[in-house]
This record gives sequence, C-alpha cells and structure tokens, in this order.
Amino acid sequence: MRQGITSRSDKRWFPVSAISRFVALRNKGVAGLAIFVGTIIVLSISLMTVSAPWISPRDPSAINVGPVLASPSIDFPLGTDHLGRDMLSRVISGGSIMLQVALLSVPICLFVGVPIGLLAAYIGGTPEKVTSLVMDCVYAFPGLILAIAIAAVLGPGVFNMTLAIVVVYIPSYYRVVRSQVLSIKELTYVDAARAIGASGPSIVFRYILPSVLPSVIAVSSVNFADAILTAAGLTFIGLGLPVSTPDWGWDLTNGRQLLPSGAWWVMAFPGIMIVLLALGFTLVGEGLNELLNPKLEVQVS
Amino acid sequence: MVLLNVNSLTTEYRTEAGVIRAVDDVALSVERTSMLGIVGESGSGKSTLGLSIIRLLPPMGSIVKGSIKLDGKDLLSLSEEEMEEIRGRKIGYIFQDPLTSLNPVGKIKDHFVELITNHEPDTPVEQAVERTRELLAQVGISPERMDEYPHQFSGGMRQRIMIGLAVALRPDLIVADEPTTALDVIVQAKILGLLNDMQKTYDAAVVLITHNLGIVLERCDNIAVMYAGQVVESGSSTDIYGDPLHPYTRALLDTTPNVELNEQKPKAIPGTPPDLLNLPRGCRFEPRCPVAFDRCKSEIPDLIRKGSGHDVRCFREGG
Amino acid sequence: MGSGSYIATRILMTIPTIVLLLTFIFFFVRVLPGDPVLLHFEKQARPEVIESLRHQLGFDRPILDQYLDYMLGVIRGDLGKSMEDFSPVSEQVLSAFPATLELSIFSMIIAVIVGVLLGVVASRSYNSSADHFLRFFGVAVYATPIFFIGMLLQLLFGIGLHLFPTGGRMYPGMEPCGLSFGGTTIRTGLYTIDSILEGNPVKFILALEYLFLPSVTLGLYLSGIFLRLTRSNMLDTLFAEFTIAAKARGLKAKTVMYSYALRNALLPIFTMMGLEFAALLGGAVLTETTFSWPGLGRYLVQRIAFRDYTAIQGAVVYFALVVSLTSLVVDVAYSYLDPRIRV
Repeated sequence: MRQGITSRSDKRWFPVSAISRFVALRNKGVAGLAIFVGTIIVLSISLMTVSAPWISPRDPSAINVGPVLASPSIDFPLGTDHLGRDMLSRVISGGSIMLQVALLSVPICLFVGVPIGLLAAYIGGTPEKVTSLVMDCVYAFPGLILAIAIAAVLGPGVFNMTLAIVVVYIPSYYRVVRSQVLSIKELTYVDAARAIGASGPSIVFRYILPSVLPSVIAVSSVNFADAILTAAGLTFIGLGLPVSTPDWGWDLTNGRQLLPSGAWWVMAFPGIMIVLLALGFTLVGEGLNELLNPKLEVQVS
Repeated sequence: MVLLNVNSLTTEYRTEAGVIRAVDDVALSVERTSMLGIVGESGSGKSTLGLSIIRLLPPMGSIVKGSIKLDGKDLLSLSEEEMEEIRGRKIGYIFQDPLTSLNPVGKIKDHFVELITNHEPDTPVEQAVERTRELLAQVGISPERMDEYPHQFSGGMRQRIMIGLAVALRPDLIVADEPTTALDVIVQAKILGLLNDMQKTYDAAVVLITHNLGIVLERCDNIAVMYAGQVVESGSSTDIYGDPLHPYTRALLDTTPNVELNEQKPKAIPGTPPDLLNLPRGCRFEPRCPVAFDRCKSEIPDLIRKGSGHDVRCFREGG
Repeated sequence: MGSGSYIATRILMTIPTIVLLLTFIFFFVRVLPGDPVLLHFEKQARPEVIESLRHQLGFDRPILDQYLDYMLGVIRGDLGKSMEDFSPVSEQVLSAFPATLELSIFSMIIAVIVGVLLGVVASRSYNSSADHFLRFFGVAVYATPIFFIGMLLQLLFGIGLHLFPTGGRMYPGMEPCGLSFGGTTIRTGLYTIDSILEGNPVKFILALEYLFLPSVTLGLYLSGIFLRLTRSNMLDTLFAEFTIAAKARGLKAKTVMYSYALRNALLPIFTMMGLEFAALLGGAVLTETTFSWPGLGRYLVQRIAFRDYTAIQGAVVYFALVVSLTSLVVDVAYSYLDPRIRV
C-alpha cells in the first residue's frame, strides 16, 4: 500500500488546489523548477505588456521626450533612442506584437495540426501516406526561409506573420501526434475499447487523445518560443510591422544601426526581453519534456 | 573449497521517493566448480545481488555494508582499476537480455579480440582471432560468422556469444543473471546445457540467478531462496527439494509445473511482494504466509541452521 | 538488402519530394492576391509597362505551360530571370551560394564540436550543477535570436576589442583567385580553400578573420541542439545494457567510454547534422544580414526588398534542392556508419 506519492483527494476549490500544486512544482527537481520559473517569467511579461498603457511612464511612441541617444540615467533608466523616445516605456510596451503572434499561432496550429494527425494516423492507407509526404516536405524545409517567403508574399501584419508561423509549425504537431497514435493504435486497450462497442471517433477522443496530449503540450511550448523568435527574425529582415507600434524586434533591428556610435542600450534591452520571453516558454517546454520522458529510472529486481 | 564468500551484504538505492534496501544482510558461499542457484521473484533483490558482486551498480545504488571475498580477497576493498582486472578475467558475467548486451556497431570478432587484448595487451592479434575461433566453436556458433554483427543473430545465438565472452579468459566464477528468461523454452534448455558444459570445460563455479525454481532444482548443487531482499532459505538442492522448510519455498515448489503430476491447474502464490519503500515491521513474507502467527507480524526472524548447510529464516523453524 | 539497393531506393525516394517541393513553390508565388508582376510595382505604373514585363517573363501564358517551363527549366539549371534587370537568376544564385556554403560548413563544425563536447561533459556529471548549467546554456542559446548573438559578438569583439571585422567577407581586393594553370582556373568559391590553392597565407588568414564572428554566431546558436542531443544520447548509452556488459567484461573505462557509449551516442547526431542543416540555412539568412555576408541568404533578403518575385522563387527553389540533396547524402553516409541499416 503506497502512501505519500499519490495526493490525498483535494477538497479545496479547484483554482486554489491548482495554484498550490503549481507552487509545489518548484520542489520537484530541476524539471519542476524549470516549469515554475518559466511560467512565472511568461506570466510576468504578459502582465507587464497588458498593463503597459497604465504603467508605462511615458508614451512609447512619442518622440523627443528626452535628449536623443541619451545613455541610461535616473530620468531615463533605459536611455533614449535616436528619436528621443524613452526606452523604458518602449520596453514595457514592446511585447504586444510578439505575444499576439504567439498566442494566435499556437491555438491555430493545435486546432489544425492535431486533428489532421489524429485522423490521418487513424485512417491510415493512402490518405495517410500522402498527407505524411506533404508534411515531411514542409517539415524538412528550413522553417525560417519558408516563413520569410510566406511573409514576403503576403506582406507585413500580425495575421500574416501568424499564418507564416502556422504553416511552418503544423507539420511538427502532425508528426508528433501521428507517431503517438501509431504506437498506441495497436495497444491492447484500444482493442478492448472496440470490444466493448466503442465507436471510431469515440475511441479517438476518449482513449487516444489523452495519451497524445502530453507530447502535444511539449511541442506547443516550443512552438510559442519559436513563434516569438520567428516574429523577431521577420522584423529583422524588414517584414515586420509598420514603424509606429512599439516592438522589441523593431528596436533590436534599429539598434543595429546605432551600434557603431556606441548606443548599446537601444538594442540590448529589447533584445534581453525577447530572450527572456522565449526562454520562459522554452523552460516550460523543457521541464514538461523532462517530466514526461524521465531519463534514469531505478529498476530493482 | 570456498571460492566466493558473501557476508552481511547490504545494498541500497537512493531514489526520490526514499531509500530502497534491495539486498538486506545477505550471506552466501559458493564452492569451487559448484553451481549455486539464487531464486526469487522480481523485486527480491537477486539481480542487485549479482551486480553488487561485480560492483556495477547504477549511480543511485551503493553497497553500504558487508564483504564479498573472492579467494579470500575482499572485492569491496579493491580500487576501480583492480576491479577492472577481476571483471572478465576472474568473474565472467552473463546478462539477461541478449538482444541489447552486445555492441550494435561491433563485429563479433571485434568483441572477442577487444576483450582479449584489453586484459592481455601483449597478445598478438592473430592469436586473439584464433582463440575467438575456438570459443565460437565451443559455444556452437560457426566461426565463419565472426565478421557479422549482433543484429544478424537470433536471441539464442547472441546468448551463446555472451557465454563465449564470459568464459574467454577462463574465469573462476561465472555469474549468470536470468540468462534464459528472454528466450523460448527449447532454446532455454540448450543454453543451460551449454552453461553446464562450459562450467566443466573451465572448472568454473557458477551462480545462476533466476525466478525459475524448476531450472535451479534440476541443475544446481546448492540453492538460495530470496524474498524482499533477504535470504529466506538456503541449502543443497536435495535438501530444498526434499525438505523445504520456509513457507515461501514450499509455495514456490507447489507452483512449479511438474510433468509427472497429473493436475495441470496453474497455481500462483496469493498476494504480491511487499513495497520495498514500505516494508512491514515483522517478517516480510507474513502477509502471504499460510502459517503465520502473531510474532511474525512484529519481529523479523533470524537465519538459523537446521541441518548441514541448510539454513532457514522462519519462526516456525525456531528462527 | 545490400548497400547498393539501399542507396538506389533512397535516391528514388528523393525525386517525389523534390517534385512536390518545386510544385509547392511554383503555386505559392502565384497564390498571391493579385499577381507577382503587379505587386512588383510599388506605385501605380503605366499599364503598358506592366503588360510588357508580364509578357517578357511569361506570366501571361496559361498556367500549365508556365509550370512545364518552370519544371523543365529547373532540370536544365535555369531558374528564370530577375524582375529587376532580366539577368539569369541561376547565375546570381550560383555566385552567392559558395559564401553561404562556406559559412554553413564552418558553423556546423563549431556547432558540433562545441555541442558534442559540452554534451559529453554534461552527461558524465549527470545532475550536478555543471550539468544543470550546461543544459541551461544550451536552452538559453537557442532562445536568443541569432542576430542578437551576432550583434553582441560584433559589439564585444568587433567594436569593443577591435579583434575581428564586423561585416563583409573579405578585405576589398584580396579575394582569392584560386589555382590557375594552363588555361584553366580551379576556384571553389570558398575563400579558405581558394587561398590555399593559390598558396597565399595572408588571404587565408584574412578569410578566417572575416569568417570568425559569423560562424561563431551561427555555430553557437546551433550548438545548443547538439548539446541537448548528445547529452540525451550519452545518458542513454552510458547506462545501456551493452555498456554495462562491456564494463562487466573488465574493459578499461576509456574503451567503454569511446567504443561503446560515445560511438553509439554519436550515430543519431550524424542524422541530426543533416536535419539541422535546414535550420542552419534558415539561421544563415539572419546571420548573413547581420554581418553583411554576401551569401544566398542576404541575396534572398535583398530580392524581397526589391519585390523581385522571380528571383525569390529561384532562390527558394535552390534552397529546396540543396536541402533535399544534403539530406540524401547524409542518409547514405549514415548507412555506412550504422551496419544495422546496411546489412
């Protein structure tokens, strides 16, 4: 009779118990710590971005609120850029586009990629082979180049960037789901379900989907991180958004021009924010991966 | 003459859930050229015992107490380099799963030559290859196949190769950890027969670790029965078969299929082995024991001698 | 199935993939709202100008004809004409590619050496603080935009310490010309090799100097992936049955480490090198832009700025071909390393 490993049935209100289990994660080894820290980072940045209109000290797009290219000081803790804009305000408000792109692209990928994967793997035969061939082609192709090509053809804009990322990422979900389904499909408990009369779609949803979910979640967090980095990359190439919206990617790109004059703060701080955000998502993904596929397990016999 | 003498051996694993004592104060001895069978269910600690003898425990495992004397020398006092000398040369080890025990990217010939030149660096390669040919023939593999790779052989053949590797340097002791569990019954018999032959050819002692009491009764001179990390009964196979003292041993004998008996209903011992993280305070077999009484719940019996070489750990026998 | 038939099968399998990719690219460029020629002109141009360009580039022909021309063109090595000045795209692509190739090779070398080394170190000190730090490093490096890494390196080594050039591929006028004898010249387009062929050590050093920052940037970025993969594979092989069995035979620790653990752990890494080549090319685009490196990536970006859709199509086609062929080569080479595939 085991004790101490399974939790006692929790009678508290669901959000409270969820939060306390989440906080307890940081004690569950490195993986748990990674998930904990990553989630905190992501939530903090999201919170900051959402409340930017209220907490930002100055208007991020207003020019000449301070001297041009001033280095960090008490008045302007993160300095100013070549148009005299306050970098602190720009950093606080600059995550909005990236978060939008990330938060839009991942659900779309999920709702398109996962069902296609499930269906193809379940049906099998020629449809599956054809779909897999197409997916493999897209998957093997350099993601960034494909995204660049799509964005180049469609033009700038949040939706177009999102579409570019979605097209590049769907094959990843497809592959992961398909390989999971293929290995589960033959397992006995699916046969057992059929034996008690469960129908096709019901088998898929109630039996196969739950086993597929963990891997899908791991792919999603990587997807988030990649979406952010791709958005930054596209902006760097010049396929980003119109100049007016404050955006870390944009400042990073601009900051490049200013490097030779020594104004490192224009590119450094937005760059660090991008890294933090991507890192946050990646930590969650890595932590989840480690929890779901643990390495060395003790085998006692 | 005693070749291997294990005393008070205790091996533990540190896990996130706690400390598991896989081998608890185990003592046994192996005479030269004899065969000792160690029997137990999974979780009994028998494989850990085997790995402890050659000191190849995984990182979370460690031997916390006891001594393992090979020819009088305590293996636990040796350095890692000295152990490397012992492994392969004085003690040959055979693992359970032949499918994963050989280097997938190495030819069979290379496995042997590497082994021989590792321990005897002055050996010319041609001589090592000759010895390889000899060994392969001895274990029943055609020497022409020595340039092939492990995946080209069946499970039974791979196990033969493993046996060949284990005896290549003429060890005094061979430890075989479930050598036939992954094989089908007919191949099993052949492999065990081969093991017997090698034992005779090289005058080696064998420790055979298995969950199959039938095999052990048939081929071993002595038997040690393990349960939940402890030795619960040990003695010669005649003693164990003719006069099993421990309720667990008796239950095992009962459940061993016997061709001579007419009843064919498969039997099992009711209940399951204890959780090693949560051991009972008293005798570990008590929850499943048909003859347990009050004292068994609160105290652990000692191992006592009931006849020449016949030991048992049970209050019913005065433990 | 012997080596021969595996290779043949593999080559055969590449063809449908390439055809699919090419078709994809073809329709992709034409799926635009409007049409490539129209979009090329920023401001409203006179209808005759648009029609003339359309006609000269063949966009007014039936779609099936265009498709056939396109496919046959690829086989012949003709990637169309640039919208800007009608020069053959294939020429431009071929002159830009060696720069990308050189950058890719050096970056991959750095990525593999750094990644594998650190991965082995991490796996050997499993769960120690060194292990955690290295894993964090691998994760952090991948989460950093490549161009940010590039910019930081430029700042530190280029502007700050004045150790390396921050842009370009070579000191103007010092481009290596390769080896000339008789009437022929052997020039690979890779400055490092060409300068050796020419026997000019100064050019060789210069080539390396310019190559250093960009390849370290791209290499560091990818090293994270190799670090993680090596560590993961090593953890598998260090504790695999065949490794323990090898130790049980008393093989020396170094032998076990190299012949058993590392050798088997590195196999999948080789395949990963092939897969990562695609990511490498993507990263090359950003790196080349950061360092003004005159490769195919920068070419693509410039053509995008010019809205030169035929050139964009040509460049993407070339990328697709390179990726497919590389993957083929890697798979075939892998079959020589892993006997299980071959025999």
